[in-house]
Amino acid sequence: MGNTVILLVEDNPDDEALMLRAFKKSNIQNEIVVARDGVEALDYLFGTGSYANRDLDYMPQLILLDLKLPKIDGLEVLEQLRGDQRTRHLPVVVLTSSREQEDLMAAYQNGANSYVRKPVDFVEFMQAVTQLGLYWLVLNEPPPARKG
Amino acid sequence: MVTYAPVLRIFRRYSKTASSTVILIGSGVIVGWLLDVAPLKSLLPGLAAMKFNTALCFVLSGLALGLFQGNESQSSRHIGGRTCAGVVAGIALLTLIEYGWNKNLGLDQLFARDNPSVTPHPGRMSLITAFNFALISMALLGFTQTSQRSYLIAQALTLIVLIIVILRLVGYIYNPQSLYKAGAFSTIAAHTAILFLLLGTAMLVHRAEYGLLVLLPSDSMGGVLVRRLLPAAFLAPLLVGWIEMMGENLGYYNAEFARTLSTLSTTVFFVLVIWWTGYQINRVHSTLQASEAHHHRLLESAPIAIVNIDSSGLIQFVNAKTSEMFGYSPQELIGQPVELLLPERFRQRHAHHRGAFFADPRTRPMGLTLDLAGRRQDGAEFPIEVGLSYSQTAGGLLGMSFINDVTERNQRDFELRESESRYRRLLETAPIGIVNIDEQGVIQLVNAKTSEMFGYSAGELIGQSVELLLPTALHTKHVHHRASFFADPRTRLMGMGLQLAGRRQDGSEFPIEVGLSYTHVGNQFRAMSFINDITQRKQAEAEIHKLNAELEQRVIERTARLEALNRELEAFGYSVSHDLRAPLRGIDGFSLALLEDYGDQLDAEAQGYLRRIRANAQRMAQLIDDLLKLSQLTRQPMRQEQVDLSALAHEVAMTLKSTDPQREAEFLIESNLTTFGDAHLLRIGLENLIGNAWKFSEKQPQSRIEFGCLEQSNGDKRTYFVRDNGAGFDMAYADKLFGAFQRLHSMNEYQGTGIGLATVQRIIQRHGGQIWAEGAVQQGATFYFTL
Repeated sequence: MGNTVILLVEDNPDDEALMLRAFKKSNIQNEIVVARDGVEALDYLFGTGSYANRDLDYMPQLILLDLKLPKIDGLEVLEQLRGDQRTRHLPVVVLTSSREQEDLMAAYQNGANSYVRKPVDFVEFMQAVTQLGLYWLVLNEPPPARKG
Repeated sequence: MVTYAPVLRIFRRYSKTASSTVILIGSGVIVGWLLDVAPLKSLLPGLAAMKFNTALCFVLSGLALGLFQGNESQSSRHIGGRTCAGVVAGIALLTLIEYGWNKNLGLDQLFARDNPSVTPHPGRMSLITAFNFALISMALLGFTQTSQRSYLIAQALTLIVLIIVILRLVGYIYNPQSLYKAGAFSTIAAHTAILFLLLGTAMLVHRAEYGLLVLLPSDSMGGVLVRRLLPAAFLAPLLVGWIEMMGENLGYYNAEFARTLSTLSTTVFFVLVIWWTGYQINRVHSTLQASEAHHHRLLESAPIAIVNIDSSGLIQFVNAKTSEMFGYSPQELIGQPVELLLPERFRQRHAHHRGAFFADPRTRPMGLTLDLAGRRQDGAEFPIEVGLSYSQTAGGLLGMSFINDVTERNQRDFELRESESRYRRLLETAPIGIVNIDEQGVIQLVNAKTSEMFGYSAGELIGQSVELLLPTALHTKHVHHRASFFADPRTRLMGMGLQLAGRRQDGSEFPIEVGLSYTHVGNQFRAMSFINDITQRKQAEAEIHKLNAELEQRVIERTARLEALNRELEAFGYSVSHDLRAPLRGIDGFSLALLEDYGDQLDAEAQGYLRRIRANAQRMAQLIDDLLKLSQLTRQPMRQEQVDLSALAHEVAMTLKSTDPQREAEFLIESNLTTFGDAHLLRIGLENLIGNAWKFSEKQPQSRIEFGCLEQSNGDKRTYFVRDNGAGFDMAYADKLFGAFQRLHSMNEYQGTGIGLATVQRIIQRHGGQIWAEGAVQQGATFYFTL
């Protein structure tokens, strides 16, 4: 069960709530860990700060990363986790409101596996989340975990 | 008559030598008498002794002549000479009286005693000798008078003496026996005769340039002939006579033959002399003729008119140039009054001048008369210049005038003055300073502008070194420049880089620009410099430079501001796309959550409100998206590539059709429309235009949408159009069509954010084109754009 965590990096509580609702509605039952800024996300991934005691053998199965974050923004988080041996191969889906070409390019440049724009229409939003879950959690073969 | 000086000198020398010889011989005889030495008395052995008185008279006559030969102004010598001559005259006259009255006055042996056995009157000179001395003494006294007449008389008397002695001498030559006939009182002894010959000739030639003998020393043809022929004329008959006599005496032939021989010889001699004389004269004559022809040609080919007039003003001679100048033939002029050649108004005055000239003829060179005019036969007048001279001829005094037609010269002078004045005006009104310097750098000429520019008067500059006009620091350099310019003078235009500084009289300096040229004055180079005060230009340049710098700075600042604005806009766009959408998502999401989770607790009206909330949220999201797209259009870099507009339109049409396959719609798309531009942007443009047409014609039973290109081209651009048969629009609002968020139709009628046409306009503008629309309500719309 430990390896079915989805790390949701999202500072907007509305979006967080809607995301969780969408997961629920799509019958995605993975444990969802929410990091509300870049620092928290990196703490979780590298077992630092408030996550100092976390067992780093267990890494999230999927990271949903917003770009616009307090403290450390999404692109830097992405850059750091891709720069670290332990998190290099984690699937990262950039989930953001931005449609800027630069953001898109920068995300892929930094090793994002996918880039999804959050639709305003919640119906569409839910479809997107459903498809994401289906793909990344069910269809995608993740890289081998360090343990096991 | 010109006297030939060398001949005259020979004569003088002869005269002195002869008179000295006479004195010497006479003195010898006197000594002989005083010492009673016989050979001295008779001079030659066998001859009779010369009387003491005779010898004394010879010595005194010789002395007199010798004294006269000296400087005429010395009166002491003249007095001495006259005294000597007077003594001679006294002795001669007393002797003649003794003969005439047959008395002995005691004169004969006054100084020396003669041998009484030899002559009837011992010591008395012969009658002829006394006569000769009388003539000689009078002639000597005559020579002391300086009048032409007294010379003539003196020479005539001398000639008589000479003829007498020559007659006697010839007698001696023909009959030598007579030499030794003693005591002939009526004859002259041979030595006496020879002394008379010497004395007489000496007297004759010592003033040869006057009186009878004037021809003898002359340089003329006559003088030459006389000098050549006279000795021959003396000697030849003498010789002929002597030969004739000798032959006859020796018995070679008789008297008859002798006479014939004499006549023939004389004839031959005269023929020869005449022949030679004729030949000489002929030679001289042809020389004279050639000379005259030469002078004639000189006159005729002279480039000036030459007119000779006599004292009454009648023309005697004209040369060819006169005829040419005045238009008369020489025949028409000769004998006419010279005033014929003058205009009427000058004639009286000229006759007066003429009279004055002949009264006091003098040579006057040309160019001293002013404003004289000549008159041609046809009446035309022309300006002339006249020189005057005169000549004394056999026919009387001739006035010679030399006439020059100065029409051309006056014209030339006029043109020269005109040109000079033009040049002067040009110089003085030139808006640049002009300075001429010579090779030493000395200013020769300046114009008014130079004075104005440098603050010196022209007088203060001319003669000064040109460096006066330059700052001291430039002097050495300028002297070098100057030297190299004169070494290789060439024209250098202004603005070819030579910029210097000028220095005013007050010491202030100002920037100048100098052009150079050169000219010749005589064989000297002059440098001409053209000086422009470029203070104002320099200031203007500095001003422009400053303005440019300011402008550049302003551009930099503005660019920076624009860049900052752009960045702000980007940040704004980013924040819009990210931050404005999140709340909308919340509104939509939670509205849906309400509907889904609590829908059973809400009545139909509440559910309707929630659906409206969701629709508005979504519409706002659409607006934001469109707005972002519009801003992205302006920020994206443009690409230039071949774009097939026809193909693009087809694709757009296909996409639209696929959204509503059931709809009755007709697309008329012109094929092969290509252009250069950004394919991505042009696709967006066509999507909007054709999309609009599709949208606004949806209520027509049969939509017709056209895309094409107008025939006429607008410059190098072509005009495309998209036409539909849809709702159209009111042309009153045509200018609002392309504003962002501008809509001409209600949301209920047609969907849309009002961004589409603004986007299209921006795309077309970015391609350098224009867009406009035509239409009418319910008549369809046509959108034109140029690419």
